[in-house]
Amino acid sequence: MGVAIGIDLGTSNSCVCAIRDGEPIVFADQEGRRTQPSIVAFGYGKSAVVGWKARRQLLYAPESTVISAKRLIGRRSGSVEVERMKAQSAYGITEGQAGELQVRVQGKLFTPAEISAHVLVHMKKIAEAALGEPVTQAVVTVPAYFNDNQRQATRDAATMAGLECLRILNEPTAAALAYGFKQGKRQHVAVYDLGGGTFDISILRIDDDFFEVIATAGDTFLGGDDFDYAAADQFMELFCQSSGVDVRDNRTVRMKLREAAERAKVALSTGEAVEVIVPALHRTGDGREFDFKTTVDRFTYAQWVLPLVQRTFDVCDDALKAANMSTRQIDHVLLVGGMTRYPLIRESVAGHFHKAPNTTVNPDEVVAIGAAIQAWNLTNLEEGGGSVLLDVTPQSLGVRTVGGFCETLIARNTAVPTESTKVFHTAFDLQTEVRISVYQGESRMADDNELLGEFVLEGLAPKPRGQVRVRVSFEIDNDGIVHVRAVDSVLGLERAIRIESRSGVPVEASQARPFDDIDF
Amino acid sequence: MDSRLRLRIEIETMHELLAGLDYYQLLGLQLGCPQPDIDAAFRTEGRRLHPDRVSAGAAPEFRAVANSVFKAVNDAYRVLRDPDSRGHYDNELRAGRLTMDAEARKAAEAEAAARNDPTKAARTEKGGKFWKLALGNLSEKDYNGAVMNIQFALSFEPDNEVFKEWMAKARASKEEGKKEKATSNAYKIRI
Repeated sequence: MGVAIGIDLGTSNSCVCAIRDGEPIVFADQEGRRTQPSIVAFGYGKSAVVGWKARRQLLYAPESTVISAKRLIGRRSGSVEVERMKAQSAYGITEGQAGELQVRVQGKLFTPAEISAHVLVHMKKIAEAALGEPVTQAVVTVPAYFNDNQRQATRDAATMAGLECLRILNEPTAAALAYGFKQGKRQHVAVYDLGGGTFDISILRIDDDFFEVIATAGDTFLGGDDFDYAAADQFMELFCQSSGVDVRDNRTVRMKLREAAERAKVALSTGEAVEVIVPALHRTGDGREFDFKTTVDRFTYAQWVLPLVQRTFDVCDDALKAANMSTRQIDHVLLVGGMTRYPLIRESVAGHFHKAPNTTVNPDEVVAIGAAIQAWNLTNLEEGGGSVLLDVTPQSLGVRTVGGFCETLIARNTAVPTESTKVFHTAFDLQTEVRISVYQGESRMADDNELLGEFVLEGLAPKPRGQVRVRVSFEIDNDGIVHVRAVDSVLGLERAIRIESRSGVPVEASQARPFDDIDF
Repeated sequence: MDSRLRLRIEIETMHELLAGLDYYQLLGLQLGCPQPDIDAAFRTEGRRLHPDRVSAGAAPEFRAVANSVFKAVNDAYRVLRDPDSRGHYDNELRAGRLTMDAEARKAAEAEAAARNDPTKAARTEKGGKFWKLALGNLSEKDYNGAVMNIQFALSFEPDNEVFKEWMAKARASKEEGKKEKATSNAYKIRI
């Protein structure tokens, strides 16, 4: 059996690690770089390149360079977030027949999971080169707030990459595991994880080798990308005003400004002010060429991104409330994700939690290290067993009921694995099938939540209404993935159903009847 | 290695008894124990019983068993960790709605389970054997076979109300079913 690796599959950057002789080793590429951009570039007629090579292509061919695929994975079109992503993205985003998202590059279509699979293969190869042996098993991390669709799609990506996915692990939990590894203390830890595309907060109780998540909350569309787009929007306004040319719809200009915004963000982490210059940003049809030039200081930048920072704290308060804790009961605040390198974030977090955040861990590598520890735990039980991780489900699971309401079956922050059973009754005489729609989210209205899947139980005995009862059990496993099993309560027959992540697949709706439910 | 085997046997036994255990028994506690004991017991049992620890390399059947035991442990802790929900649970427990002496509880559970799920209606091994055959007959709409097998099952458990109820149904269907062709009860799930 080869080595099982841990992969932090990030929105912007990815990192791979394994435990060797009891210590985590982060694998570097041939040039010694310890993280790789999660970017896949398609060249004309050639095969795709991934990582740093792909990043180089971003500036001159953004339309055939896929960045931030993680923001699309397991999502359907139509949501506000996806529409925003479509507007910002230089490459094409379309939708397939079943409403699933696709990336269009040079006339070819890819699912976001396929793009992520390319990144995973790249990480796997880096590990194999360093280890000198093939790798077949991995723990892959996801944002804690990812729903079932997003987790399932990530699992699919790992399978496509030729990896047996030992576990889908939550990023903040992985970070806590790496942080608490061999510490042997009892403490409450808050993990503030602001990455390239997502934000998570998890509150854990660590007792030596026992890691228990008490509560988690997050926003899967809030990350460093959004800071860059917010600053780029400001640059765009400045440029349009100073040049007198309206280029608000020009994607290339937008990409260049985003890149400039990212550089400004990096520069402001050490300097008090930065001069931003983009030479020849735009050339008009009549041959006039415009440069972009401005100066940004920390205070101005902070003003631009303050609403985004405040959003992270709203999410933090939500998690604390769910954990029934105050900031003062938190012993340590752990910073994870590249964004938390910035002084602006560090200072704001210190202010909000009334204590200086812990800076002993490397925010870019700690998640991959945690994933590697868990991979080791799951493959080396004979050696006495490693730490035990107890995670929770980030979002409530429910079914649609009469009137479009969503009835919760498993509340958010319930420890996994967990199971809940519900009895469904037919609502009409001679009804022979029952349609069940499963959602994840906190809204009382089903349509405001994320649809995970719909399934139809058919072949029920035609009887007066209410006489046919079907018991359906909903399980959330250790990966946070939902399984649905239907048990015919008349005869005890049982069928397992997996809610397919691509379950935008339309159900023949015509015969499917609504039904109401009574007990449980 | 020996201790691992013992743990597996323990988990399988817990799984068999699962329906009859209350949340305190599941965590190895006594009703009325101090609240901190509950946290401690959960951590001890969690370390011992977590599926990641016990089922690596095990057969899928055992994984499922370990998983369902741990789901119950999780449930127990969710209810007992919060003083409000624990208080409510304790009241139910004291009122005997959740537990009785082992014998009475078993009978009550069998009855309750049978109301929802006829597959759990049998109380004796031999009765169960014929009952299982009878259910098979019913699902095939073979009512002659069903009547015969329920008759056998009743000979081992003459007081079983569920058997009697289904005997009546099977007899009625037998008469009625003479017209109806026996087809298998297709129970399909479409995604």
